Amino acid sequence: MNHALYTARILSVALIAPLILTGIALVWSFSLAAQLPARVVVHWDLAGHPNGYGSPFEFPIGIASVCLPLIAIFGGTVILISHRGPLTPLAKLLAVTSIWVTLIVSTIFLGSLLDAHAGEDIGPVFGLALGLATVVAAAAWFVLPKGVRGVGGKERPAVTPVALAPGERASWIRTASLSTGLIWFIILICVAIGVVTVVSTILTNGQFWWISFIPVVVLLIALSNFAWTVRVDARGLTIRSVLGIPVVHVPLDQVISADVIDVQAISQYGGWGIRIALNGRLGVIVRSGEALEVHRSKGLDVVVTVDDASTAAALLNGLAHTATAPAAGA
Amino acid sequence: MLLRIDPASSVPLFEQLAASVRAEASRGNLREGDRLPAAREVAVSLDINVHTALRAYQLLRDEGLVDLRRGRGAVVTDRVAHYSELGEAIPRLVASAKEVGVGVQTLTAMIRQEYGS
Repeated sequence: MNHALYTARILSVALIAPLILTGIALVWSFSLAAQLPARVVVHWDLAGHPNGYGSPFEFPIGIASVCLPLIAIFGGTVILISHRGPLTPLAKLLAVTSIWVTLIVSTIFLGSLLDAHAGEDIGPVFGLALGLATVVAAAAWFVLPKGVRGVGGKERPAVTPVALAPGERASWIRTASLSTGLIWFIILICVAIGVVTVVSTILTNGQFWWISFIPVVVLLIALSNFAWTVRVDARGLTIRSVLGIPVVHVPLDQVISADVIDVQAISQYGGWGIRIALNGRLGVIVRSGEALEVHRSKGLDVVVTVDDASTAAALLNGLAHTATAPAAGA
Repeated sequence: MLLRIDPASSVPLFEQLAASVRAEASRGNLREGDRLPAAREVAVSLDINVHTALRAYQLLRDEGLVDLRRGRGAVVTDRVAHYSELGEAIPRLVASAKEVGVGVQTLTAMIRQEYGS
């Protein structure tokens, strides 16, 4: 395919279209806000009754401050992925999400403004926003080039199973953890969310006190995904968070084979921690690069990024072979 | 880290376990500051008593390959570099012994003799 056209298709969906849509929404909302009185309804409760008043210009400011960072995050990730390698289905999903969130956010803000214009309630706007955004995002999917599955890493040599004597026991244990920089970054984000929720709770006189639990829950989930002990032995493969849970276990009798593969944390798994890839593999991902891949007879195949994965794969294959084959010479 | 033991062998389990860790060191798979898996984890994984695993770690501490610290577990010391150097010399020694038909018992006896002198 023409390379310029290929890049243009990705760029137009991930960045240009969302930015143009945001631009239209901004111009429209500014012109609407200019026609409104200085004080209008800006917030509604969950039942759709007005519970906040302010300047109509809060709407265009809201559109810009929500849409632009989201476009930067989603679109930026897509550009990063497609720059490094072929376009993965996950990158396509992120690209159309860029359009999807832009439309939802813009429609809700614009709808609210139009409602403020007419003095009606906001209810139907949400449904309209969701429907419109989903249809456009689905159409955008087909503008994008065809996705490529299984980003090819360098070929890994086949694993020779560890030969075990009858009665011999073997174990392979290794820790896999996120890089220190990433851990501090995540903790920093949790602290930032914490400060925001505490300040909001104080400002709203404790009306929404329960949001203070959000950073605590986020931090707990993050902590449980920071470091893992990966173990291969007669029980099979066990991947346990250093906090104790969660645990991913593949019993030896479900192991068909083990391999070493190269994975891309962001473009294949969308990040770090326990996650399911679009190709239906359960991943425990702490970085990109060398990973142990286990094909199993039941449930999802498991992928874990860990150093010295070739020894782990060799032992798992050896153990699985010993378990299924009757004792030699017997 | 790959650990292997054979309960049918006449060598005590803790010595086999220590030998397994040593083998990883001489193959260059361990670096200074690496932490060995917790003794409890090793014991569960190999289906042996936790005291056997701890005894293996104590043996390795006595020879200076690891530091045992409360709360930190067994941490590989700077002596690991010597083990990987020996790990390169020993295969050469064994290869030349095999070449001239010297068996393992004779070679060990010769090594012992060298230490004794």
